[in-house]
Amino acid sequence: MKLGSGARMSPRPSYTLWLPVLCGLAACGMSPPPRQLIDARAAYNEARLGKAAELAPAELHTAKVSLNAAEQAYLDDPESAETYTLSYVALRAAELVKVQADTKRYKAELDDAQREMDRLESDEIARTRSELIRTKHELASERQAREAAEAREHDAMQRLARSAALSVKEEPRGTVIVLPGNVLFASGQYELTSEAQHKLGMIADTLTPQARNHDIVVEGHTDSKGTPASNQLLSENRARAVMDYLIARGVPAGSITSVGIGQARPVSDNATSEGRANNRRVEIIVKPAEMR
Amino acid sequence: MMTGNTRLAAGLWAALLGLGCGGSSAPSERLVLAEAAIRGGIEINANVNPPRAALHLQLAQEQVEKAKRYISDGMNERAELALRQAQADAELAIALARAEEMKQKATAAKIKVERLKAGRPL
Repeated sequence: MKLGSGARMSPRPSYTLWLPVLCGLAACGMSPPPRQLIDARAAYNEARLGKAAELAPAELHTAKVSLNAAEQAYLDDPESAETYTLSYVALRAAELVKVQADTKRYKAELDDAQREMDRLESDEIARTRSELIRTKHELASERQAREAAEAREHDAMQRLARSAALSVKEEPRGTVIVLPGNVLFASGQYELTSEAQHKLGMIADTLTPQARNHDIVVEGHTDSKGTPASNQLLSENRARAVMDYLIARGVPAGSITSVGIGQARPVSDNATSEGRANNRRVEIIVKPAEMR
Repeated sequence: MMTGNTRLAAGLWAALLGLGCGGSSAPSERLVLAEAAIRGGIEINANVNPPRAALHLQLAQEQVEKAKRYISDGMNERAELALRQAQADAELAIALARAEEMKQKATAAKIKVERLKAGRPL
């Protein structure tokens, strides 16, 4: 009794291989084995001779037990339905062994790749950590150097303020050196006095080393006497005169600019002569390094 | 007219009666196991991928259907054999699906390794 044709079985058996056996069986009067059994034998042998013996020995043993059962059933009754089914099951068991061996091989490849990935990631983390530490050290060194430079510049400004008797103020826009107008120029003029040149020489000596790291702006301011237009022009000319002198004394031209503010930003009351004197001034602003 | 379930129930009762009279009992436990194996295969998409797994799961389902008809007809020994085949096909289908999944994971991991080695983002 047979339950099915087994037409969908694979792989195809090698009938040539089993031909002598079949002939022998025929000579003994025994029915040839079902195709499922022939295929099961071939599949089992293929598994046994392949990687399965190494990778899936337990599963290979199970397939062997299954094949033995099919062989026994065949010996008991070659044409029984049980022989067919046990052969079918033995074939599937042999195929299963090969698949399970493949699975274990893929699993081993996955584990190898995972270990390699972990190693590479550990190396990357160590490298990143090392770079981070180096960067921190570099930043700390830069900060120390900047703080030292700022301290030197501050000391230089204080010395300048004392020696030149000038007002030096720290403001959000930077360090501001205030030069009274009456010290620098004759009334309504913009040619520098000799005293102005002396003070500006001292200022230039202080500013020249700082000009590498700071922008410098020279602002001209006037009182409110005269017209706004004339005051604007006068403030521009005075600021430019100061700037030109500083450049002539060594301050890099690329670091310094001048601007005339006119009477727009008084610091004192223009109604009094003292207030007007305060408003006539030139301011030299040394901008903070980060505002460049 | 009897439905499939009614036929199966009738067959199981007939099998029980047959057991009382000395015949073999319905392979209900094996039926449960085979159907569970098929459900397990479907849960891991063995009915879809890879194609070879889908084929074996289909064979298993056909054998289970055949076994149910045998049980309905009181042919319990035939049902038992069909269910053995179903079980073997379902287990092979599950193994094939798991092998495919593992293969894809291994391939993806190897690609990641190569990208890491080449300094490219994953």
